[in-house]
Amino acid sequence: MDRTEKILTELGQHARTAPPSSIDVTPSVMRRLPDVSVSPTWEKAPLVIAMISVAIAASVTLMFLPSWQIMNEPWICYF
Amino acid sequence: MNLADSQHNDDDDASERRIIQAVLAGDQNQYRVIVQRHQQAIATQMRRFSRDPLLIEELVQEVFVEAFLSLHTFRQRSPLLHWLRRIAVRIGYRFWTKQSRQKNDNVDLSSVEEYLATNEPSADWAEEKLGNVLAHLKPRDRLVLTLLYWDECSIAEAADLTGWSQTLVKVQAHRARQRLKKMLESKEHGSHRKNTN
Repeated sequence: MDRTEKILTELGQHARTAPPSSIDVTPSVMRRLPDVSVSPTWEKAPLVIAMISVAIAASVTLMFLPSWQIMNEPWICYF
Repeated sequence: MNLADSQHNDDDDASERRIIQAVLAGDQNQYRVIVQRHQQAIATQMRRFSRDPLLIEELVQEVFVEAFLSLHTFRQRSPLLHWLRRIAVRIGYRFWTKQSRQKNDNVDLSSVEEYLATNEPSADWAEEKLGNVLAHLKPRDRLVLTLLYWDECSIAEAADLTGWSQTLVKVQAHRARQRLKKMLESKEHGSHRKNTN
C-alpha cells in the first residue's frame, strides 16, 4: 500500500464514523410527485425486432433495386 | 445475521413489494413509506457528493423522484435500497460532471499525514479532507475512489453501483490512484520549492 492509498484508507475509515444524516425530504418529494407522471412501460424487444426488420427490408430493396429495374424496364440497359 | 434478523428482512422485503405494487397501481401516497424508510441511507450516500446540506437535500429529493419515475423498471431481484443507491450514485456522478473541478485549493498531503499520525481525527475533519483530496480528480476517478475508500465497497459492489464491469473498476481505480499521487506530489514539490525560495 503506497502513501496516497494509506491516507485515503485512513481518511475513509474516520469519515465513515460520521453520524447518519438526519433529513426529512418526504413532504418535498410527495409535493413533486403529482407533477410527474410515471411513463408508460414500453417493451423494447418488439420495437427492436421491428427496427431490424425494417433495416433488412431497406437494404434488400437497395441491393435488388437495379435488377428489378432491369426486369420492369429492360431498355434501361441501353442507356 | 441471526434467524430473527433474516425473518425481519424477509418481512420488510415482502411489505416493500406490496408497497411498490400499490404505487404502481396508482396509489402514490404509499410512496411516502419508501421515502421515509430509505431517506437517511440515501442522504448518507449523497454526503459523498457534496458537503452542502441544502444541496444534499436537493440531491436526495432528485433520487426519490427519479426512482418514482422508473419504479416500473425495478425488477425486485435485489433489495430496493440497493437499487436506490445505484440511482443515487448516477445522480451524484451527474452532479459532479456539471460542477467544475477544484483547481486551487490547499490540500497538503503531508500535513494530512502528519495530523493522522498524531491525532484522532473527527469524522467531520476526515470527511472534509477526503472530499478535498478527491475533488482534484475527474468525476470518473473521483467516483471510483469514493466508492472504494469512502464507502468501502468491494470491486464487485462498486461495479454494480456504477454499472461498469469489474475490470473497468479495477483499471479506473488504479489509474485514479496514480493520477492522484502524481497530482498531490507535484503540488507538494511546488509548495516545498516556494518555501525554500
